[in-house]
Amino acid sequence: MELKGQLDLLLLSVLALGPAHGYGVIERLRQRSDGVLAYPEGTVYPALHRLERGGLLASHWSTGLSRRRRVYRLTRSGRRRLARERKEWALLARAVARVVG
Amino acid sequence: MSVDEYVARLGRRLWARPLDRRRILAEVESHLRQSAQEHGEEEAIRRFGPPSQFDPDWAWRAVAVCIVGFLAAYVAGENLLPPAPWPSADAAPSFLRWTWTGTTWAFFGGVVAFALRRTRLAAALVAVAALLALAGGIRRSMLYDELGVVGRLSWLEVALGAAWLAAVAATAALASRSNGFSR
Repeated sequence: MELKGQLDLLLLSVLALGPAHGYGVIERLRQRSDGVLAYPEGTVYPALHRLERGGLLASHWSTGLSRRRRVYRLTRSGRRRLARERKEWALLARAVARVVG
Repeated sequence: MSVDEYVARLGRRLWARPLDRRRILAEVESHLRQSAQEHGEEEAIRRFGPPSQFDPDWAWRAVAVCIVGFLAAYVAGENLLPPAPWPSADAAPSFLRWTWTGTTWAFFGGVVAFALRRTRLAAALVAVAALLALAGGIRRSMLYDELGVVGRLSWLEVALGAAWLAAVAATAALASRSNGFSR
């Protein structure tokens, strides 16, 4: 299942748990949603790049283990944005729950 | 498809600054290799999605190139052709008249659709224009051949022009199928 329009919030949320590379981000999304949220894996990278261009994420190459990986982390702006988006999401979720029942 | 083939295909398709391009390809390759260790190459690629998802602007660039390429081919073709043996455009054989009119309307429709950011429609119209021009050009060459018009294009020149217009039509059709995403 994909949650349209909420990918940025989801990515910021999983990266708030700690820095991760793209594959790790997807694994966290899958695990924390008990497998319900399953995006095509490639869709995560353009979103990560966009969030980085917007100053919400920073990244660097990690050369640990056997291969190079680009590791992403939240910036201060990203944390502020996440806090704001969480409030908006809580409002939206409550409103939808009231309507849907 | 193997991971190497996927990355090579993506590399051919990706329009980005060299530094960004290298980074995207390295990230994708690293991801796919890790995923392939757990799920196998085919499943890793299926889960990852098609290369087209990485370049949402690809369709725009392709359509723009098609419009310019079509115009260049059309103008060059018109300039290379000898004067028509019929006295005016209205007196041209009906097949040529309607393909010429159709080509013109489809082409300018494509330009307008492109300006309105309707990629699929623009690509479809440019493809139609190219195919109509192709049909009209081939028919005109056949007529010139039958009428023995002096200075007519050789069949090699016609074939090259046809190949160019067919390539324009194919690229436009492909652009209309591009499923770039932005969430």
